[in-house]
Amino acid sequence: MSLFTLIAFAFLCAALYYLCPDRFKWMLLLLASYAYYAYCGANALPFILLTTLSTWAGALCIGRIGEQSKAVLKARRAELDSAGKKVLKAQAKRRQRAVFFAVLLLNFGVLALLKYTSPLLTAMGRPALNLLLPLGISFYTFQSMGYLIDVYNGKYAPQRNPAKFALFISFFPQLIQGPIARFDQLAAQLETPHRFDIANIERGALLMLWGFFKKKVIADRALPLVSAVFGRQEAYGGAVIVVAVLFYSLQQYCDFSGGIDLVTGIAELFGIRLAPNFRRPYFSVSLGDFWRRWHISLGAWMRDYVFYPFALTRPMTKLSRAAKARLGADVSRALPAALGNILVFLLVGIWHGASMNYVLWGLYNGLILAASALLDPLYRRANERLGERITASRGFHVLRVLRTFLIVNIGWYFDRALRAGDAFAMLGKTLCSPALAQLSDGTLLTLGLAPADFAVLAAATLILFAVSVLQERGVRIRDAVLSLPVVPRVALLYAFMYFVLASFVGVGAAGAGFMYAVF
Amino acid sequence: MKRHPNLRGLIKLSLFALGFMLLILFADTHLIQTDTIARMTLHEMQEREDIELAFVGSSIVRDHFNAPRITEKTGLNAFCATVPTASMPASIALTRELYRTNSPEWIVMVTEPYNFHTVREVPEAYYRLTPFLSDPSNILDYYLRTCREDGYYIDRLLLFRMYGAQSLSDVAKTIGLRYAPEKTFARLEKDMDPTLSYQGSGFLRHETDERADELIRTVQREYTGYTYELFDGSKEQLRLYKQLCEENGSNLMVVIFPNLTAHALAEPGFLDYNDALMAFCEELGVPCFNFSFARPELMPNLDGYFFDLYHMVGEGADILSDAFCRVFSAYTAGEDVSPLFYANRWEYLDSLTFTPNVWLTAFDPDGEWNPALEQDEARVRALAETQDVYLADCNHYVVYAPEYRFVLRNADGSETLLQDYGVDTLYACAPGSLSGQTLRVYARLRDYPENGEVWYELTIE
Repeated sequence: MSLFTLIAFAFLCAALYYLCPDRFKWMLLLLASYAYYAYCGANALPFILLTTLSTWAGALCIGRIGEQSKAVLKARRAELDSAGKKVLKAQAKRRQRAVFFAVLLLNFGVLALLKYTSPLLTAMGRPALNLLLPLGISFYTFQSMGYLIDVYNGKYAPQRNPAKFALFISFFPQLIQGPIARFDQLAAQLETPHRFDIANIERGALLMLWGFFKKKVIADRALPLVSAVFGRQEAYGGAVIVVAVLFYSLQQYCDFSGGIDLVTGIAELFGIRLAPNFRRPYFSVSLGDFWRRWHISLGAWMRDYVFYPFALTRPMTKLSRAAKARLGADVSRALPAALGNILVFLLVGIWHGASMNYVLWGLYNGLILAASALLDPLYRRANERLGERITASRGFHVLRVLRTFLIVNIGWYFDRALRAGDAFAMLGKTLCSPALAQLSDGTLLTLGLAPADFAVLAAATLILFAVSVLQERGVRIRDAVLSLPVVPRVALLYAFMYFVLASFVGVGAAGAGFMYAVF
Repeated sequence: MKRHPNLRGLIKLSLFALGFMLLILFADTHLIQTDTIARMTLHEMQEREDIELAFVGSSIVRDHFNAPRITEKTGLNAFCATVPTASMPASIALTRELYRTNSPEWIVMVTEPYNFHTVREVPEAYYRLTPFLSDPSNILDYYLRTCREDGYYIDRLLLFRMYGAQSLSDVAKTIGLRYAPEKTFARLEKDMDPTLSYQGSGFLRHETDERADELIRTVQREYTGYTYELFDGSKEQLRLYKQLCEENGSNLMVVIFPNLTAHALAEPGFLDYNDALMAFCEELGVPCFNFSFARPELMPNLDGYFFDLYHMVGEGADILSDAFCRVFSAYTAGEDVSPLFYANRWEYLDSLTFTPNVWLTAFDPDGEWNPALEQDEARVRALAETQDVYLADCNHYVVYAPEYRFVLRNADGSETLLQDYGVDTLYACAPGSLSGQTLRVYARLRDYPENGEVWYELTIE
């Protein structure tokens, strides 16, 4: 479905939603979500249905086992001693665990099978299989497994209604590329009938416009240059490669966050608030800060369902204790977190794709975060020596932002390169053979962008930067725009809308899809 | 009474959207480039009420049907209602616009397979025409008709994106041509290409010394896999067009434009297409005349007047216009005009006692076979295993056998004969022996060597 069709579809659904009687509203959303998914590829429907039904049934089963166990304990309270109660609880937990792991394995197994079989076969020199990769499979698998883990941990009771659960998994705006929602944050909103409120429409439409701007004006325009350089890196010197990496920074951020803004805006049309997924990550002061601002919902998922469970395992606790005696308290405290970060980013890297460059990208981030955790006491002492006058200054802040930007961009070499070898070659050229002449000899104009494209990109990036700075300073842009007097507000919006319409990339039904839709 | 907050908001939002739509409309009509001649043609057409004979179509109509001359010869006020690159959808929109102020007795739709071979129409015609159409329902119908075919719903709504003004002078030109067309045209005419002159009634005369002689040699027959098929959609639109003419009391006539011989013959399926169109017109009861099949007594071969692959200079236009007048007058007088045309393609091809073009290809053993080459693939491939092979070819439909002569062109202009005239269509030599040299092939018809030869040359890498 093209972006225009999605936008038209969203407005149509919103109109129907508000015309629909309250008790049918959530059903309309479910119908719309499945219609949307079927339109995008009906042959992917069995996969989302499998995930939905298996997770719903698994969670229900886990809940029932827990309830039955409680009922038995209650009924036999008088006759059971504490050992007997423990045995009963352990039996119930075992049964719950069996169901839990079966559903977990099934769903992550399907994801792994579809996502990694062909790349692995190719890596082994065998012909790849033409397996279907359903749209948004990673996102709905993560979302449903998060729900299953929460139910298993007793965070909330399972959803008994399969249709309502299906809506939670398939809600169409966030189905393509997230954000990965939590059941306790989203499900109730989906089920609650929302009344028409013009403010929601205005705010939603504004956010959709902003997302469209980021995606179609910036990301899609930067794409040809990025593809050209990364696709034939051997032809370019370090300077052009740096330009391509910077363009990739811009493209990736605008593609992903633009898409998120768009779907968040669509959800707002229905009065539904999705969790934020980006918070101006390129203004981060450390890599840890960056990952708390970039793809927030995945980071939170990894933190809650991988990092903490791993860091709090018995072996980690033992390791921490052992380290305390030999390496001191600081290292002991940081060690589980450091290893947890390496594991998390290794998994995130593999999630990006089954190739070595992604593994290296994950390790690069994990190792830097691990080193940061271990060296944190040193940083703190160094900062204390520098004094608050320096460390709290704007210059120092900018320096930290630039340092983080540099670290992140080095990671992008591995994230975007076609092969790990290419990433190393490009890094090598960046450092050793910049070929600065390529910046002025017309090479840049052979990379799929005309001078007008560079001008539009520069203007659009400037707008993006200005808005981000204001947001970073706490200005709520949408509130600020919507509260302007009518003439400047209309003039500003018309000017921006005209700029967007005049400069967006793509004709007819064409245009690049979302990068993360295929993850 | 308490006002509903959402109602007020909805009204404000609707007004905001309406305002923006007006801004887009303004941009689509004022902040874009404008085709000067197309605008002048439309303006004149909208101003006139006396058009009796209207030619409708693309630039092949505008450049080749000398309306003032035709008016003189037929006694009917002729006009060329045209937009460059127009296909059926634009022709329908143009004709509807024509009917707003005129009631022509005859509508002559002039086509060639390029602008009629599909119902799809390139957006250029849309941008040249839409801003100046006066009937919103006609604009909407034209928009939907074209978008249904190619899906460019957004692009056609946002014309200013693709055809936006590049400078302030573009904006001034567009605004001038919109509100004061004659005055603006008088100003613009001074800086126009001196080989062009707009002569009124939609006729644009070209006077240039350039000729398509060289281009003929570049007309190569390449296998595109495309068949010139008369699609159901095209048939439907022609049927609708006939109905439109009938509803407005006009007679419809279809004229097939006489393309450059080399070009027409080089396109696989070109003649088939014309045959299919003629057959369909007969089925519809619409008179259709194929001027490619004009006998010499009606019109000489016009190849010498083409300055590019599609358009002729004014002299060629005059000859074609005269030929049309003769056919039109005879037809409307109830005379049999069939003796003025070849009855079918075989009679026509039999009349072509020369070969209009030849070309030469270096055979690439690793490339895909080009089915348009009438060669023995097995023989070519066998030879290519040990030698470099060069393939000569000429027109598809020529009924007389061609023969070829291969020579090396030396730096001083002299030639070294490699293979004298013969029916063999290929030249094979030791690998790399021609590197850096220029190979030229001559072709002529074996039975008509006196009718001249054509050549094509290839510089070997």
